[in-house]
Amino acid sequence: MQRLRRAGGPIRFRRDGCGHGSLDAHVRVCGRFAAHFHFSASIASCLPYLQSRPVTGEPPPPASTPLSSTAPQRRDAAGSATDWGLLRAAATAGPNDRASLEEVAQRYWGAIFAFARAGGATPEDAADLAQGFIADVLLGRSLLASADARRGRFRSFLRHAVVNYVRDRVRHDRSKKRAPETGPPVNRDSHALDSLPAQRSSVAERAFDAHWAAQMVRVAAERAERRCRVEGREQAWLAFERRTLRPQLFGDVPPPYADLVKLLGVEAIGQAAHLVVTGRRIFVEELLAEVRNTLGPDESLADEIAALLAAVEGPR
Amino acid sequence: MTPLPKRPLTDAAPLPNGVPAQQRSAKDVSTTGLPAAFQWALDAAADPGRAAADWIAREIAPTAPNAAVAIAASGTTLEQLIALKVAFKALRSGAAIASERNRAARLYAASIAAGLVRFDIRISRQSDVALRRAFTSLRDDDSSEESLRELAIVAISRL
Repeated sequence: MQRLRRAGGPIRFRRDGCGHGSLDAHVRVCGRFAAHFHFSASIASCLPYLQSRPVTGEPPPPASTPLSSTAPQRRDAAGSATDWGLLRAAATAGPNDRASLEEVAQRYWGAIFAFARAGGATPEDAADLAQGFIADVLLGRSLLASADARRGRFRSFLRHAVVNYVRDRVRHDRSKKRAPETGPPVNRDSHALDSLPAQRSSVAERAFDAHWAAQMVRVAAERAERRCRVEGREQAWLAFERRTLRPQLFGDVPPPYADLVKLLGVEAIGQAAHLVVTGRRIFVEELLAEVRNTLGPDESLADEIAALLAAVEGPR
Repeated sequence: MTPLPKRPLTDAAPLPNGVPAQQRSAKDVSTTGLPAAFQWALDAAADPGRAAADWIAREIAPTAPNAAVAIAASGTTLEQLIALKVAFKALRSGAAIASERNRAARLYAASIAAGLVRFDIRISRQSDVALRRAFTSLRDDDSSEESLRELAIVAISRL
């Protein structure tokens, strides 16, 4: 499913992507990752087409890649760039530079969507808000002008921008309802409708952070898998994925070590355990690097990890 | 020397939060899986030289909180000690950083020492000279846990 945005018009759905005619259908069927990431990561198979793109004649977006896929994976545009650098690259990209634009959309869409949904928006409205934010704000000059790594955590910066955008959209939509286009001008300041209820806002911000964290894990897993392949450590990835990652993220039953020994073709359980932990270590190195990329020079990596841990643990 | 028993390791290891995987629902995954990933990251950031060894220990002896406890605990079986020895040997040669390699070397020696002390079984083909050297280094290493250093002292006397 591809979501097409027309300037001044509603979102409509096209059936020539993954084939699902509605967002809910897509979430149910394509959202394999989303079952656990609350629709944050499968967006690669349902990439929003940005406002500046031509509506027709473009190839379908790349499909989302399952963890165990052996198909070649597109190297994302982020590379080793920080999120600040990624945003700057995307915002200054030319119309033919799809990679960085798609990377931005893939990377942040889920968290923005989750924020809107947790704030009470319908799936369609949340998708509209997410796409609008990416097209109008994230890639717009307004955010770029203030996108400075010295401002600290990119997560906090982006979340604040999303909160402001949603607030403005709510205010704008309600103004429009009260004053038809042909009617008299409306003084927007007269509407005290610029914020979500505090409790719901808190839930929405937590949903944003949880999706942000899930995206970190997803990207780290993809990079770790790729790195294991490049470094000839496929066994370590296989061991970690089967024994730890999939059981942790997807609820798969971890294979007994006796089975893992056979699968890996090693002689002893200790060797298999070492491979499991080697894969985990590579994954963790990539996760640390991924989180580090979102921080300003004076930010503490451990503090940010602790914050992300708190976000995914939820309220106690 | 007593021959090694061939009994396989039991593999009813619960996952880190103690809930068997079979009893988890899909709903649990989103709340338990992601925290584990960030907890690993915190472990690695806090003590990069020890994290991998402790993870190995919990893979093999799931109830142990860290490698030293896994080796020294009275509940650890001989089969688990052998698996720990093999894993720490592999970690020693494949360590990412020097502190991890040094830690793996100490734990490797400690696993062999525990086999000698607790089961009176030698789980290594190394010579007495090599073992004595390894145990002595462990005994004299102030950064190693007291429980491991005590194992080394007793193991030296058994050679």
